[in-house]
Amino acid sequence: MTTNGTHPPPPATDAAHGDVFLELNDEGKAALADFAWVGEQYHRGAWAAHAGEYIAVVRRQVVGVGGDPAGLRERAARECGVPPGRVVVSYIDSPNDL
Amino acid sequence: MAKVRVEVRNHPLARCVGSESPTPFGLPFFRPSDAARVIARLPWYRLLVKVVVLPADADPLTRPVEIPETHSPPAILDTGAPLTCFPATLWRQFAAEIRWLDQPPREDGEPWRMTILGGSWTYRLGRVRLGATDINGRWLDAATTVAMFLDEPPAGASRPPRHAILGLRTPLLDRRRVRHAGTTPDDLPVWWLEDDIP
Repeated sequence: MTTNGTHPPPPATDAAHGDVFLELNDEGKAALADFAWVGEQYHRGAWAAHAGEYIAVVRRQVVGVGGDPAGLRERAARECGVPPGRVVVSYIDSPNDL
Repeated sequence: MAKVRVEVRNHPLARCVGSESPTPFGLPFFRPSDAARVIARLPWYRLLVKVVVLPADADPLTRPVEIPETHSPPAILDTGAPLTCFPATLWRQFAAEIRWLDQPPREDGEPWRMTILGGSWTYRLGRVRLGATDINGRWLDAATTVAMFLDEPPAGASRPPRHAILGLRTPLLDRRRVRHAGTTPDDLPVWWLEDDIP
């Protein structure tokens, strides 16, 4: 993992709320955007057909569905030509899960 | 006051926003006075914290500039669980960042097991450095957490939790609080994990 070293600069903050924001590189921002998109679509019911499975997402596209998250990530990374850490893999809760 | 947004899953409204399909989530029950027997649902939504596993030797105030998804699993915030745990499908992706802890053997000679969510799994104990972020890139500084790293269950055995579980005793919660802060315009609940500063 890339970090900003042992002497981090003062964090970016939202002055009104004191929030601390990461200063992410482009890859980090892209992965977080995909993660946010998965959540948005979840709340729209877009993943209902995949309940109980994992989905893999890269650049706002579902690039795989399956039951093995590690294998799914590896396949998606290979097929999309991105590092495994760039693939958002999310478990879609099933009504049977408690 | 630093904070991160906690994602809500399984809320009964989740499947209704922008969708005509009825929600399947929530514990179904009938209201006593409802002769029509319309199914009501008690929410059992989950609060997911997007934890970030940092290198074990990282400076305490290190902040990542990228967050590999392999090192950033969503974890169910479970104040009913004492310890944090990770299923094998998650921790194997950041195994290099785990410092393993030996445990004395049990008196009965059996391997150490944890029981949760109706299942029981063997595990190894270890330490990881965990921070937290959210979809907007907010950040809560990291803390070192002792956690249970579940073994892959044998074929045919019950499956372990799909998500990591963030237990009550994680130092990531020290001097921090979980706060329900109303709802979004879509009536979805808003939760924060934040520093607890008077």
